[in-house]
Amino acid sequence: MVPSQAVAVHDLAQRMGASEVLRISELVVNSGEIICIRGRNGSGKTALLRLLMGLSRHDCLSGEVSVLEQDIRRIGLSDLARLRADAIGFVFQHFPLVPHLSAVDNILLPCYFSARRKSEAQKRAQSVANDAFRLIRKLSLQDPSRLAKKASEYSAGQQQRFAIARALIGKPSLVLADEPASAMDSHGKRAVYQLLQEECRATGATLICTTHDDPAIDGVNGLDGFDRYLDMGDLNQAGVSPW
Amino acid sequence: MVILKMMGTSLGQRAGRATLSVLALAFSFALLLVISHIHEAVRSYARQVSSEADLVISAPTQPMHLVLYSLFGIGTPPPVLPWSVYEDIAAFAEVEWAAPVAANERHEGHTVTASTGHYLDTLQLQAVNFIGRTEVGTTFRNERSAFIGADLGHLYHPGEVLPIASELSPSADDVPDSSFIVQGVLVETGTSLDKNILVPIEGLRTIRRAQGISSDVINFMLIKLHDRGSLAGVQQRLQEAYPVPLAVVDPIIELARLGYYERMLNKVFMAMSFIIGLLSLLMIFFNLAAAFTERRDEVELLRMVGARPWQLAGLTLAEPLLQMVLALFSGSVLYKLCTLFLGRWIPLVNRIDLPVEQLFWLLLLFLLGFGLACLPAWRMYGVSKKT
Repeated sequence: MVPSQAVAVHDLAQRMGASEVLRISELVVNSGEIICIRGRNGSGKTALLRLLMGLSRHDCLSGEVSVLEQDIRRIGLSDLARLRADAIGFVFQHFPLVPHLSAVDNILLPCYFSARRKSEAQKRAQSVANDAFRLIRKLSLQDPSRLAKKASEYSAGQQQRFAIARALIGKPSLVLADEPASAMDSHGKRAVYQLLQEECRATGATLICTTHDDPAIDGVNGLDGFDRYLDMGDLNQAGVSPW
Repeated sequence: MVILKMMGTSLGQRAGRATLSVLALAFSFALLLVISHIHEAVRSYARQVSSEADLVISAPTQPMHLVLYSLFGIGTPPPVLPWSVYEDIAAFAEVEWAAPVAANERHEGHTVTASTGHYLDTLQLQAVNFIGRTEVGTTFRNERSAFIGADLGHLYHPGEVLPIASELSPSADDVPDSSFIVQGVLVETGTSLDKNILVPIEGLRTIRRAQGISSDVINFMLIKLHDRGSLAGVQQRLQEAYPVPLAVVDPIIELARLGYYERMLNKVFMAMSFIIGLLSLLMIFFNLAAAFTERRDEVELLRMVGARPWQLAGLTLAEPLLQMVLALFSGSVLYKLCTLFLGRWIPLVNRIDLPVEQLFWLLLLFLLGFGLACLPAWRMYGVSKKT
């Protein structure tokens, strides 16, 4: 059964060391909703997504954080691993890929750890590799068959594309994208945001995408089409994030 | 599968350092095995030859020299003793049997060792008889029979005549009465006896007389007593009260002394090999530890795609384990090659297979390596649990 709320945060307070990084009274994202969180650098966007991934859950002081109906602060290690493998796709701005694995292996990583995502990818394109190629083609890569090189040999923009393909492969229920197009030109950015939206709408997945791009200044049209736009400055009452 | 692939590619990142560590560890493994093998071969041979004779007697010489030559064929023959001394001592009431050994004669440069069946039995020599009988044995068929050492087997045919020359006289090649006939070939002993020709001492004495050689001498004699309890008395009598000065040696005591030095040397070599192994393991460990910081982001990323902490710990453990298994395999191959090579000039090593208990040090090194490999794996598990 699909949960009605993909993400629910109430009265959250999180510190890292001496600084308070997140103070959010309420954030609810419904299942299948596609939202964009905008904010300047250091406003806490990355901190929020890392928390939703369960990466910094031990730094929470108070509040409730629920992801796909799992209490992220109390979930066991094994269940958290299963949740991440089966249901969450992510794109983080820094260190997008395992540098010494090939690009295709990086894209297929979630399928190695989740039978569910492997099976979904196979259902969609007969094989997991075909699904990887399908996603890569949509990201405007000229020759998707050349994916055997080590990830570190590709440009930052290409690596980010591979990371997006990895996040989308195998139909995850929730996609967290932290500035997914930061290393791309405007054409690339448009392709990335379109693909994320299309794929999530097609599969019914929830998408939470963060960006510091301001369409008014940067002229990034790809930021159109989200169901909802949130401002991290309004959402987060805390001071400056270390990110 | 992807874990193995990641291990391979991650190892590939540090291929140079990893290869060096594996080679050093393989070298250490091989050295440990080779040293244990040589040690065991020497011990086994010493045990074998020290069981029969109670005393070795020659003209005055260093006890170690006497034992090394009489039992291992190492060094030069001891100075000579008159035959009459042998006869006199052999007639002692305490003596069960005595085996005189003369080693001054030559045939085409090969040492001719003349003795009795007791000497062959003491060294547990075996031979395949070509003439007369086909069964294995070392009994001389007659006083003109000769056994040739294993290394000379390809040079002579059964029934071939071996003229003998004495160091004390000109060549006797043309004297028909100075010849022996090849009866058989000795089974390989791993000592210089493999390059000797063994003949009955009575036959040699006959030839000497035929050649007009007046000196009737031997180099040493082995004595077996009826009762080993009388050893001290006999030894004292021979050393202090006998009219001719003699070197009288208890081979068991000398072999024990030799064994002490051999064990000490063995320990030094073992310790050196073990230290090399330990350093190689530390090299593997520090390679891993240095890579650990670089891999923090990688760990976080893998955790986010669903890798379990134990999978990441396994990945960290598998890498040094693979290196150790590779080193063990290469070390074993190197050890086999070394024993094949060593066996050509120290045939003693071919006589034994390495006993399982000698693998203790190898096992200890492997376990130490496993313990060291567990440390970064445990650390990885801890870090993974927090992400």
